[in-house]
Amino acid sequence: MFVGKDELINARKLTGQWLHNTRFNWLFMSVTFAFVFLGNIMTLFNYYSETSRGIRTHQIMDYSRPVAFGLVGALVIMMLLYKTTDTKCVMFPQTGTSRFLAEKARYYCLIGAAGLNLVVYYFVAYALIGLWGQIVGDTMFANRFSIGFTLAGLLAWLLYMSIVLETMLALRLFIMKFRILSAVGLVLLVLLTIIDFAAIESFGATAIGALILERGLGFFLLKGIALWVLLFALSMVINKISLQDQSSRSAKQVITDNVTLAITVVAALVFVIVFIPQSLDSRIPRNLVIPSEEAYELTIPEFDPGPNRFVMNLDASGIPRGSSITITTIDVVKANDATQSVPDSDYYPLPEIVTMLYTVQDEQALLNFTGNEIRLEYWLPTWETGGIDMTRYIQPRFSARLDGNTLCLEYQYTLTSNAFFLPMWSFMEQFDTFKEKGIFYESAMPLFYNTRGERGWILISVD
Amino acid sequence: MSDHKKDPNVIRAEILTKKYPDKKALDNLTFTIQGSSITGLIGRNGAGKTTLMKLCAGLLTPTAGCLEIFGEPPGNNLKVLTRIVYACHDQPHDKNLRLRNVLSNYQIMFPVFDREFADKLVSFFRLNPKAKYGTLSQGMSSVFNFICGLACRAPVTLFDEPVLGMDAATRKSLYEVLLRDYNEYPRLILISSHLLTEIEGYLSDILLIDKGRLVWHGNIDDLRQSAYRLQGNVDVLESFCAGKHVLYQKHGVTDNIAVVREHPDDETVQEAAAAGLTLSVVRPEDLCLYLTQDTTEEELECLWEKTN
Repeated sequence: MFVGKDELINARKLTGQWLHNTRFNWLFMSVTFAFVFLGNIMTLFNYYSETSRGIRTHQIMDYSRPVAFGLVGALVIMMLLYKTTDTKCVMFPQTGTSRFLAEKARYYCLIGAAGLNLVVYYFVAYALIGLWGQIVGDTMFANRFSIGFTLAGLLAWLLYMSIVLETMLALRLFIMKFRILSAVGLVLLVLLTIIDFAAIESFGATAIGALILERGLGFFLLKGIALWVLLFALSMVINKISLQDQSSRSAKQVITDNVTLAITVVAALVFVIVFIPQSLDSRIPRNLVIPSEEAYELTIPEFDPGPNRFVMNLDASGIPRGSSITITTIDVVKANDATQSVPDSDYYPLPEIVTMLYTVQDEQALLNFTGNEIRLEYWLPTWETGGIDMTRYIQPRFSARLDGNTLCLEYQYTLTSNAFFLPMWSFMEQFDTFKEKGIFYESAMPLFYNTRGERGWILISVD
Repeated sequence: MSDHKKDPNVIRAEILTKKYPDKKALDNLTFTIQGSSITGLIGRNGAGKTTLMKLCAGLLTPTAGCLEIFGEPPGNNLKVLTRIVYACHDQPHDKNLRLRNVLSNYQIMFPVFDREFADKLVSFFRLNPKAKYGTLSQGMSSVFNFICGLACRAPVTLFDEPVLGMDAATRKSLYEVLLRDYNEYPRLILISSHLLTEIEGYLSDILLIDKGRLVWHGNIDDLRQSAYRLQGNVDVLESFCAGKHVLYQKHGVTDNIAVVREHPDDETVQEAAAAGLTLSVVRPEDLCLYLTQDTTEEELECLWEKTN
């Protein structure tokens, strides 16, 4: 067999020993993580010192990206220093394979711990803010917290990091043979990861391309696992045939002894590289992202009957014929005036977003009133940010009444509400299967700069 | 022990060679160690003792030849490696680990590690189990590594310079512990040293190597009997030694000595006595020195000679 049962047990013992020896490091790391995470969450509660009017949104930092970068950096350092650290257990019985498996297990422990920390962070952030909302009342989550998405993200994140790890381990061949070259290779890999994993695709890695383009989570995971298994086997083979592992057998012997495995690995390699990408490239469109111009366009909406449409009829039979009706407003602006007041920049101050516009269908009918009632057709403002309907947090209310010859229009909304965005797994947005899902920085940030907030609209007509 | 019943050859080396990029550490070494014994691996600095130990422990790969432990090569062979423990004076344990944690590691990795015995030894040698490994002095570190190696009770126990840095009293205690534990749990204990005097009383066999080559392998009593010392008149001495393998000779004003590599049978003893020569046994330590010495009296004198 490629890996014997004894070797697996030995690798488990070596890993257990390492975990036991480094338990205080783990504790220290977890406490540090906890402080950083909690510190980030707690800063959000400073909002009570702010005085702006209207709904306030808060972005909780997503650590999936910085943790991934930090992790890759830590793995590179661990791998480069491996020869130094490895001597600490050299006196114990082990083989090249069990030692390599134990080394792998260390890295996977790190990846697992980091992923688990992220999930705990998401849950704690959600629980803390939810609890705070229960106590204070005006605090709520802007986006729905999905356990399914959280766990799917965790799986995908772990899988992605595992693929990166196995790729790095495969490069260990160069570490053993050409130390400087391998260091350059590892640094390049890290840089590519930091910029965008998709960049690797340009190097002809079609298997990676298939992973990036895959839209279905299930297939994404399946393909990811296939790629991971392939890379895992590859690094094992490299380790097996390298000099480090060979005390008494030549590389040729190892390959000959594992001929079945070698054939399987080659077959799997051919299958993943040739067949899977071909079957997918034909049916998945390359660009699925909404163009940014369309996504962030700022417009005053035309009459567009929507779900928030309401009709109000005011009895005006008591108003003398031929008299003029004037309009007074609270937080309602005449449409033409509003259009002029809209600043040219992309930035909208919050109070303006929640101000309603009105327009009169026939101005003359109001100046020389002859009708029986005034009909008000209105659309309450909607506010969507990052694909999330935020309207409910504004709690818009419109009221109208006739006070003699004066038509009073009043728009009310909740003055102070705090909505929290909790972006998750933003690092995974580089894969199509995670695009337009969840809350990511790119989609949540427009709230502050390039909003799609739509104003409420009132159409006044005389019957 | 069951291992010995299956294969009497505990260690078998055949034309074993190990080359480093800059030197040949072992050169066509061939020997066999059978059954239980405390065997001393004796040699001068750079003789290849540590290399041989590491080869036995599977930490190094032979360049040529064959090395088998219980009939199998130790490298990458868990079946063999779990029955070998290699303990040197400066084991590369994590310096931040406490002694009790290092013992726990041994307990995890060696199935028959006797933790209770190890704890007792730690107490016996006045070590603090809560102390960190990195804070130990050279001597204490050597003692601790000896404890780790002994408590493993591995069928092949390799001690590489175990007493380095220890004071005389500790060394004596350590050898007594070693001998007593061997009597309780007989196994092959290979102990390397370049100081034979202290340990010769505890050894049953000696493996003497020099410059990577085997010089002597056998029972320590046989080594004692393999040479004799003659003392007397210089002319008589030279006449008596003619045709014999003289390992060492020194001519002084009153004292003339020669060491002959030959078993001193009764006839030789009588002949020496008749010639007026005093025949005596050579101490194993001295004999090892004579067998491995590669500098002469003349070379020594040359150090102080003026060149102009």
